[in-house]
Amino acid sequence: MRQITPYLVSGCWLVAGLLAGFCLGEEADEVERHFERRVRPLLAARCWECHGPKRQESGLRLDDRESVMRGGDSGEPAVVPGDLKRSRLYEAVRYEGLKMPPDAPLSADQIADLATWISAGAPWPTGTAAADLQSPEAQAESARMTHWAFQPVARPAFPPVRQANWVRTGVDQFILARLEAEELLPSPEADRRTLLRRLSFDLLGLPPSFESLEAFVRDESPDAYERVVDQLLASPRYGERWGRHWLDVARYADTRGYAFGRERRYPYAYTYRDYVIRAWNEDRPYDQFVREQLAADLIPGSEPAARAALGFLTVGRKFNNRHDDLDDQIDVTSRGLLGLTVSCARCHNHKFDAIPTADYYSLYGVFASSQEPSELPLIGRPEDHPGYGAFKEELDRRQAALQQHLDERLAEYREQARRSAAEYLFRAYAEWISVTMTAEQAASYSFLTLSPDDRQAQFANAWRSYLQQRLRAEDPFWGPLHDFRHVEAGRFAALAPEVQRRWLERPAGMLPGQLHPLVKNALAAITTWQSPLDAAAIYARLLADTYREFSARADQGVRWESVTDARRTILEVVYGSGTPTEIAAGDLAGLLNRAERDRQRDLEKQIEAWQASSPGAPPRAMVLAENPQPHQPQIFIRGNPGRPGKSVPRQFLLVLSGANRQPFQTGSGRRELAEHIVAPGNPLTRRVIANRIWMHHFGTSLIGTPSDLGQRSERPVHADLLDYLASRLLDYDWSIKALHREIVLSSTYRQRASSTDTTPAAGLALTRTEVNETAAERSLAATRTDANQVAVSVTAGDKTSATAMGAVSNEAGRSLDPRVSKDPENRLYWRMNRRRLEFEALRDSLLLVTGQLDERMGGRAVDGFVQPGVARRTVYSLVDRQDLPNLLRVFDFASPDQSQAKRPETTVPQQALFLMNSPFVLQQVQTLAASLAAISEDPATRIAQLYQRVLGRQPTAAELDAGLRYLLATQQLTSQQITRQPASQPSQDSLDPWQQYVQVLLLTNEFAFYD
Amino acid sequence: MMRPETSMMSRREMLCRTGVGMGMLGLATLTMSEPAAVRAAEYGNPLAPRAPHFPAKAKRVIHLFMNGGPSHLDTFDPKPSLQKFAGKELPTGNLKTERRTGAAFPSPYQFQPYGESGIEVSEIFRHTAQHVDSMAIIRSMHADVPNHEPSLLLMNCGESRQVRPSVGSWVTYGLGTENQNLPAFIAMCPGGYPITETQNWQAAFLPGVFQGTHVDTKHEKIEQLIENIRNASVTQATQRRQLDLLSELNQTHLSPRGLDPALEARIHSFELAYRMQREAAEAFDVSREPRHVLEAYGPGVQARQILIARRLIERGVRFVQLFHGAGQPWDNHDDLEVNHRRLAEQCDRAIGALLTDLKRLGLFEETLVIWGGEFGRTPTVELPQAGANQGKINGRDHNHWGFTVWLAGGGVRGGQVYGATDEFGFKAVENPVHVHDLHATILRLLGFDHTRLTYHYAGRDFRLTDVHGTVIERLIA
Repeated sequence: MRQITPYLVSGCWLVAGLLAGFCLGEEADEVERHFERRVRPLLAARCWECHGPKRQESGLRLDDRESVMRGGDSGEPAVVPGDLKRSRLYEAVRYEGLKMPPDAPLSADQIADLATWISAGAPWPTGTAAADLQSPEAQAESARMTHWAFQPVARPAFPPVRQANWVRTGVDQFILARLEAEELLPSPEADRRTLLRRLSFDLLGLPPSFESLEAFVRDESPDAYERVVDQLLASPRYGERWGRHWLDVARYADTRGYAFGRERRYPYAYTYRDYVIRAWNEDRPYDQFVREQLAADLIPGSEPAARAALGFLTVGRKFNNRHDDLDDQIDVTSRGLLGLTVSCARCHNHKFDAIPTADYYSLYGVFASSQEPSELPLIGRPEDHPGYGAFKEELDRRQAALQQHLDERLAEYREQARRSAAEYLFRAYAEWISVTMTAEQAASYSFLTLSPDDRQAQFANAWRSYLQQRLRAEDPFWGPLHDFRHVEAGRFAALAPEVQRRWLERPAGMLPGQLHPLVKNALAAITTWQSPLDAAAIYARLLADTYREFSARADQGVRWESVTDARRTILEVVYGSGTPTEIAAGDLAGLLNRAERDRQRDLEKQIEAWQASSPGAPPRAMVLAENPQPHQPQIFIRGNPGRPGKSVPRQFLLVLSGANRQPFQTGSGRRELAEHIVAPGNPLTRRVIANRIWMHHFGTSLIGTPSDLGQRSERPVHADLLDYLASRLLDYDWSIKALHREIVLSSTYRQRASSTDTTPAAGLALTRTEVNETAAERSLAATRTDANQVAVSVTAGDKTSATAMGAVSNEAGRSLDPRVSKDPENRLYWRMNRRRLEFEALRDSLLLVTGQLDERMGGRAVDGFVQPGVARRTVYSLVDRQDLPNLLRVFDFASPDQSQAKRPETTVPQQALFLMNSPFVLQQVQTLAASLAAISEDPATRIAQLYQRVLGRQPTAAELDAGLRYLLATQQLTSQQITRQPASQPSQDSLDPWQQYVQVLLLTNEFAFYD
Repeated sequence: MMRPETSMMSRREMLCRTGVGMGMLGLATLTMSEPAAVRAAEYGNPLAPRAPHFPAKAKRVIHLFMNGGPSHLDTFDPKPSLQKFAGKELPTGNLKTERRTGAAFPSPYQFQPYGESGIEVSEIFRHTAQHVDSMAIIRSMHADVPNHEPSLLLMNCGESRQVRPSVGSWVTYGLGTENQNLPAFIAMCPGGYPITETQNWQAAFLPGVFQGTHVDTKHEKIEQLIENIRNASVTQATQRRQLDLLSELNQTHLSPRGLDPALEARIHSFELAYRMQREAAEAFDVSREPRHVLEAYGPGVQARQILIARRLIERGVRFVQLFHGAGQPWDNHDDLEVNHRRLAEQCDRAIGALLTDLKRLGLFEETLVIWGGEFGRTPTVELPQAGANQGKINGRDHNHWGFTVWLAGGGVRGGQVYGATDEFGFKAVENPVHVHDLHATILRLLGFDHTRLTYHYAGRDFRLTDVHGTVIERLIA
């Protein structure tokens, strides 16, 4: 149990370690070990990028002792052993004068590590220790010891707080302790109405009804809040909201990407989306959720429907390149579940983290050991699915069309192989004996008919290996051809007659020692010899004649049995099995020409399109299936599959494994990978998910980079809170809903979002000047950070401070809250964050308040989410990663190509245009206006109704007045015609004043934000 | 510059990002105080204009994309030697391209020198050729493979297979845009999409606002060009009154909540949107051009979209990319003579007019114009192959070994030929310029060090040129 801050803990550990070393009389060793474990990795991770072997900014290198002692262009040493004051490195890392590293300061304990090292004389061991440190194992060991995120998740002790009565859940204890340490007060609790709106948007992505708000405000029972939380968590709308958050992580889409003429849609991606929504609704324990997504097919006894979970691995973009597909799986698994950027190690060892390339290929091996089967398994009984009969009938028809195409092509290529058998035999023999024919020679053989372009390489190869196999010296049929091949080339004309004579001596027959009668006849007819091709021509003619004769008679039903034995030998070469003329269905792919391939693809596309579009297609799971033989991975040098290197076992990541890491034992190892990820001892998995949950409640992440907890991620300000949440997850048997309760029941969560309506705590107010300076300094710091990448224009200091002044000045005559200046970004959570609705929540809320939301769940994706009349929740809309609607892009929708932890939040006019002008919104407006018109004729009553429906409250007198004024003025205007309109703008309003007014309410900030 | 995994625009970033270009925003929202309006315009707006790494002449880009692969041998890279071998095999043999090619195929067109530089250009680009003294013709371009999909992605995104941001996305990410009333990056393609579709202008892991806005220039009406740009149900005056009421209600909502740039930014965005309706309609409406200008560009959809490009650039749009048409129009495996002539006829005159116009308006030096395709074509004729072409033996196959791209305007040193292909135009042999080098040079012309225009994503800093790219200094004035 840690009772003090980690900085002190590690400080104590260090001192104790050094003292222990001293007691043993091995002080130097201990200091060197400190250097190797703490300092060298730190320099490597944070300094060498700019001051290392590749670059020497300001002439400074920090990768060997001599350079460090010499310093850079300034001429002063970076480190003076034993003298902190004169060590410029120490000065720079403390951001005194120079501020290094520029992107983010070192942590306090890292600075302390440097100080310890410099004070101890800055030893820099060379030789084996250094080499050893560069090994991945040593790097991993060092990372495990030093980096916050690799420390085991331990339950931190509750820090003491003064205002204990503020604490409702453990969350508050950590938040309050930190606020008290900074002498800040938390904000008061928000009012009931605000709280219910917050809870409802947070948990469901939808606003509460006016009635439920009223009921909650009136509910005086002590557990009113708890009950409403439980109700919301039990709503099926919850899974649709939080499932979508997960789909961002899972880079979900309904299409495969660029499809090369194939069907672009994944017919069954939706079964993964539905699985996710169901899993969140059912509060599936997170460890099980992870296991199923990686290995549902390998978990004995798991329900068949859970196999759709494997969509996590299979709904990514398809690159038409296996390596890239696997990279996508490695990336979504490592960043999505572990918060590690393993993909960075595809070409070389990870630049910042202890992830060697070997680890990448260990995971590569895991995923490469499975395939997506061509026929995906059904979920449930297809017969139970409505419309299945009609679907099946059409599917069978389309599949038959494809089969027919392939059968016909196969028959054609078989016929071609037979028809041209003579030519292929002859050419294969010629090639084998390395004889090239002149054009005249070739023209003399009547059986040579194919142009070079018509010759199939596949047939030629088959003939070549057939001849090599069948030409035997004593073979009664092939024997002569064998022997002529062995005649000395230079004296062929002289020696060939002798071979001819020897063979003609044999009796005609098909037994050993005899000569095939037809060969014998043909051989006897030859009088002069030029080359072995003369012999080959005998065989070619026999094949050609046989084919001609038999194919002509085959139409008349002539059967093999009716031909002579001698002829049958040849017939078997042309038509039999085990010969080059036998074309298997599997050979077809290599034979089809472009047009035929296109036709095949087109027919396949029709099948896929039918599966993707037919309402009767029964659901299937987008699974992976284990290959019979797992893939034995090799490192690809620099990521190049053409340069395979060292073999590596399929196993878990080095940095998360102890010294006795074992290769995976069973099959692909996917199941074992899943188990390692959800092992209680894994320091990352629970931190990552706990942070994701927190982030969606507060809008800000505890971890700077929620999907990258590697060594470049700073220790969170609220590291103990994070660990508390992560450890609670285990207490709750991985129940995410329990974690929600822990968070939303807290006083922290229930705070007000505004800073202006609270009394600032005494003694903390800064003067305005001080504030300006602080803000300006901050701005400059931020600018400098950016300078390494893109120079962001900050024109002048006065402009900056003008804005900063705006941020804290007394614009509306209110007093300044000191917390705004001390923690403007609310990193300490002294108030709630105001939140803007994402696109889904905005669209769904529009549909809800206009009474149109279609609450049906699940099923095939709905195309046209902004078409009027499409009223399903947005999570069910088709996500086409190849042609993502621009509107989704401008509303910050998650990229479906990469696992995305957090959406950007931008404000651009295209968002406003959608609300002002889109047919979808105008339809909502008309529907809502019509439903209100039915309630009352009285404008004031209608306005009140409208406020209740849209904003969940009564209008104020001023708002009512504004509304009435608008309606009145507009009605007067309609009689006067408005002139001078741009060409395509209507010259008359088709929205009546009331509808115009309704639209305005739907566009308000109050509708689009919640406090 | 930005870390996607943290909040896209933190308050801190917002505070330090005041500055240039605010004037373009015009009047601040009337109901807001000046600082509030500035804040609102800046907040959450990643498109606010920014300066690059160092001063540069080029501020905007027009990329004329001849998708399908225009033949360099019939446009900007004359090869008289092909005539000698017409119908015969090349003595140097044929390089491997997508399909089998045969004998040498001399250009069916005449070339002649133009301008003071005397650079030879084909008759089919005779109007464009009038500006040859302002153009840097890179005759030694090369790419990686002879297939459309990877080559398009390489040319547009710097990577053949994986999902990476497009050049236009990088440029708008780096520079923002000068006119908040128009999209920052517009990709025009009449009749549909080129091959690989929207990937050509994708933002990939950059925030979605940096993605190109696709405009189908087959249409002429503004509401068909940009979605939701017109309200079909109310007059502009009515909409103004709606927005005035909206502003009033939003102020009532804002006032007890104190400072909140997110709320203010959204208030402001409705005013921007209101102005965008008019401005976009104007920008795309070429009928507002005087008659002599319309005549200079000529008839047809190419002329119109090239003229639109000029109007957009004039209004401060950062990056305009024009694809010649849906699919791959320049991909002439057959009937090259007829087709290349027809395609060039559609755009040559307008390209010439565009360059003239940019000079006339004083925009030429600030506008980088890029012309080219994803690769070139073979100097040898494509052989017939069942199901692959029409078997006419009068077209050329794809050629990634060597092709031409030209640059003009925006700090480009004109009147020069850079690099060369071999005697027959098969392969870039003298000063070869890879697509990565072209990208590095384009970014330099816009004021960026291509190694420093980076985006931190998934654990590492990505850039357009990945680990490649050399700036070709000789192309820069």
